[in-house]
Amino acid sequence: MYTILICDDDRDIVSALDIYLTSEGYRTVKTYDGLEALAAVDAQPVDLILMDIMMPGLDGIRTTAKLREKCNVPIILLTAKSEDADKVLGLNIGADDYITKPFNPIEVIARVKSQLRRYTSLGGKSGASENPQLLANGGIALDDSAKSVTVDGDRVNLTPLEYNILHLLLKNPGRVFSTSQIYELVWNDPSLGSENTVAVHIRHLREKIEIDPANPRYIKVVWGLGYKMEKL
Amino acid sequence: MKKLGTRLAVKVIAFFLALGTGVGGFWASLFILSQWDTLWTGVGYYSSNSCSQYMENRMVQVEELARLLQYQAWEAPLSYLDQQRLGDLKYALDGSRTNFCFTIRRNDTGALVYSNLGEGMTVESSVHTVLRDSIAVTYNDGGERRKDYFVWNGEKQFYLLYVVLDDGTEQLLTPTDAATAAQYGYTFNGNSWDYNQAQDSRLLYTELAIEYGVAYPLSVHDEFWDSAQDFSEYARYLPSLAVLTVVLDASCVLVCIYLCRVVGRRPGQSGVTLNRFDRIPLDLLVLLEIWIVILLLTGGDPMATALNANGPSTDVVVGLALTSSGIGLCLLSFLLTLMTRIRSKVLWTNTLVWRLIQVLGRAVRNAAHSWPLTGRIIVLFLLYLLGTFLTTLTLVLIPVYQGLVLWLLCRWAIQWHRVRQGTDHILGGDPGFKIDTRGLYHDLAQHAEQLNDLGDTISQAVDQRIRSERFRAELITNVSHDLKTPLTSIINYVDLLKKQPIQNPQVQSYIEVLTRKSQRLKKLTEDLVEASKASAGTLPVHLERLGMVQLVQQALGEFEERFAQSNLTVVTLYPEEEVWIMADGHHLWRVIDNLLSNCNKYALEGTRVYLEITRQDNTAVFSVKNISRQQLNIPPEQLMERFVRGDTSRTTDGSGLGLSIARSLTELQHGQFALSIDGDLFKATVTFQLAPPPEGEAEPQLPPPA
Repeated sequence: MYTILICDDDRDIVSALDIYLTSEGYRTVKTYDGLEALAAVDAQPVDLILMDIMMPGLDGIRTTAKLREKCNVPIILLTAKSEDADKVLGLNIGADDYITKPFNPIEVIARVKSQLRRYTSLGGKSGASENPQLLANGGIALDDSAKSVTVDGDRVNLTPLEYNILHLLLKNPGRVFSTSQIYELVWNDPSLGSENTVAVHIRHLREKIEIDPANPRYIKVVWGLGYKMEKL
Repeated sequence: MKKLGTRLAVKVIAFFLALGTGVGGFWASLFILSQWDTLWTGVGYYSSNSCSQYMENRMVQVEELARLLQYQAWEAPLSYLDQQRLGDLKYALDGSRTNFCFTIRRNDTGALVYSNLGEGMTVESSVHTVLRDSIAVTYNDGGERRKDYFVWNGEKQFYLLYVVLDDGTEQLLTPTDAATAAQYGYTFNGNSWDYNQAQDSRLLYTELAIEYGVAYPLSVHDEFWDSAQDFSEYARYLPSLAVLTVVLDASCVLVCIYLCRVVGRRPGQSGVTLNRFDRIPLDLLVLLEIWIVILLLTGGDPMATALNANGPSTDVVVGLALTSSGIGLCLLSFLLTLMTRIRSKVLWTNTLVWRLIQVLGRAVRNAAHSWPLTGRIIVLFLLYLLGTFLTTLTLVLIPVYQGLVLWLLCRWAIQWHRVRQGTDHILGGDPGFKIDTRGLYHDLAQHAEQLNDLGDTISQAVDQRIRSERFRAELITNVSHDLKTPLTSIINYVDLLKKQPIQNPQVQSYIEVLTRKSQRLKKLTEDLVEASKASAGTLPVHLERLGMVQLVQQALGEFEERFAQSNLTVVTLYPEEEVWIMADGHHLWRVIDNLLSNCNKYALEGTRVYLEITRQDNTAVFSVKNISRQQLNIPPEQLMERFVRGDTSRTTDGSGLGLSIARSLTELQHGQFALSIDGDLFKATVTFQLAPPPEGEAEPQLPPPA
């Protein structure tokens, strides 16, 4: 049983999260500001921290910085701020993920699960590279010999076209492919202006492997240029 | 001591001490100097200056006597006055009336002509020192010799001599007539004639020898006797008088030095204080004092003459003392005021000339400032030319003058540089910077002050703007946080409610409404924050080269199913080549996202939506056309305002912010956003400048996936 520390100055949000996480079978520790969170981490072993950024006293950013001085427990920041700068700051300071308020409870659970799995079972290692047939990035693993794809250990069912697109992007992480390039490489036909289908397929693929398809972590849309697999 | 030294009474006493010692020292020095020989030559009376002066006077008489006696010997007729004079001289020079002894002899024969010595006495035996002299005596009753003249003979290159004889006739003489010429005292010297009056037969001529001296010992009461008495007396007193003179002069100088040191200082005050006398303009004072001194000297002159003539008398002594005291007063007061002025540095400034120059200079400067700049430059240039001309004449002053001009130009350049640097500071993010205007030329100083004022204004405006922007940014952040936090709770607890086993269908439908409205509220909040950030222009924009066709295709990929649900058919019209523009991909996606959701929400079901990308001149135009479900009876401008929607019933889940956000974001990326309504046809266009296509268009060949 994992212990999850929740930290937010809004008690209702803390108790809502408590209900969701408890119903998922996690043990929770409720704190209401940064100092309390630091004390709670010292008092007992904690497997994951869900923490608000805007808190009186010690805010989430500074608490994260202090926590990172002594442990590498996964930290997911909850933020009402939606500026990219705040997200980048949070991730740079040592947070592992962020969720913007107002959040969807299902998304919170999914992200908690994903972080826990990576922290405990995968140990932060990205997929073994000994098998050339095995491609991995972050929580995604693609075994070309078995034609199977898993996300955070869960098997995902993909259509052949979706599988080929994912295979292409996973083999070239960080590279931007335009829709016509993807079309020519996956469909093996010259692109004749029917690239809408590529965009639609990629959206379907995103819906299957991303926790929040509107805010993807793996398959990023580079608007006006194409798509790419974010290197994690 | 210092305290005592500056007290007024002490200064007054010192002043009069200096005046007294000065006047006394002046007269004593004058007397000592007049008796210089007596005091310092150290010889006896017979070698003294006064003795020889009296001897000279007597010699004048002796020479006159000798001349008259020679005339008598030539039996020349003497006038009555000459005869009287001869008697007087013989009387005055008689041995019983003067100690002056002399003999007159013919210089050629040595025969005695006259002597004032007793029988058997010689000059050598009776005087202290024998002195000898000779005089030439000539006599010509006709006086014609002076009429001789020469005429130049150009042919023979010598002068012809015309001699005027006693009877008035002229005789021409040439060098061949040497014998005749010699009679008249002429000898030919090659081309002209030398004259010797002793050889001139027409004249009576002789030389007389005079031997003279002062009797030793003095036996007669005459001027020699008196001056010898004075001499011995002075010789006794002069050393002490000289010492007194030195003491007086030295003390005068010392007191003056003391006065110069303390003048203008007052007890209990630091620095130099000017009194009324010191405030008189210096040049005026100088003229006044010169005038007073001249008056006093004019008054003293007859008194000094009287003193010389008649010896000291009470009136004259008092008069001279007063006169000299007056002059001393003038000089001393002038010295002291000069010191005070130098000490307080008003020597030049407190003069009429200085004030006049100041007034004129100010007038010229003021006048010059109102001239136009070009006029001033022309005048300066003409002055420079004049100076160049004048100094070129002197040669020596050329480097001095041109160096001065160069120095002035450099000074101007340095000051200009200072103003420039100040401007750079003001423009370079330090609008509060102040240019130091001290010592700047008038025009530059004015310019610098204006720049300083400008900087002040800018810094105030910048401050205000920064404050209002920070306020706005903080407001958006705080409002968004304060809205989103309770909203998070609402959404979560509604979700928890939904999971409760509730059988009542009424309650379930209520919860459904809560779910929908909370989601709507969430969307509204996000749109509101985005709209205010977009219109405030605080969003960071990263412009990069984008393919517009690519972006619209990607957007359509996101919307495909939603359009299908609304039973809308999308018709796309793209050019074959990619259309490249400079834009921020994320923001442009939001624009197109808003436009497409707009279609999805408001287009009439079962109609077609036209998406078109065209090149027009230098621009790329993206347009969306659809048929509105509702009648659009509001102008397009209003549609872009916040919270305005085409459907007045407001039943759909739009915030009314979509078009406003789209327009703000487009303008942030330097694009144009326009709407038009034609009946039920709604058209939105987004226009961007075309960007050049990327170089090396060739796409890398990738192996197809297995």
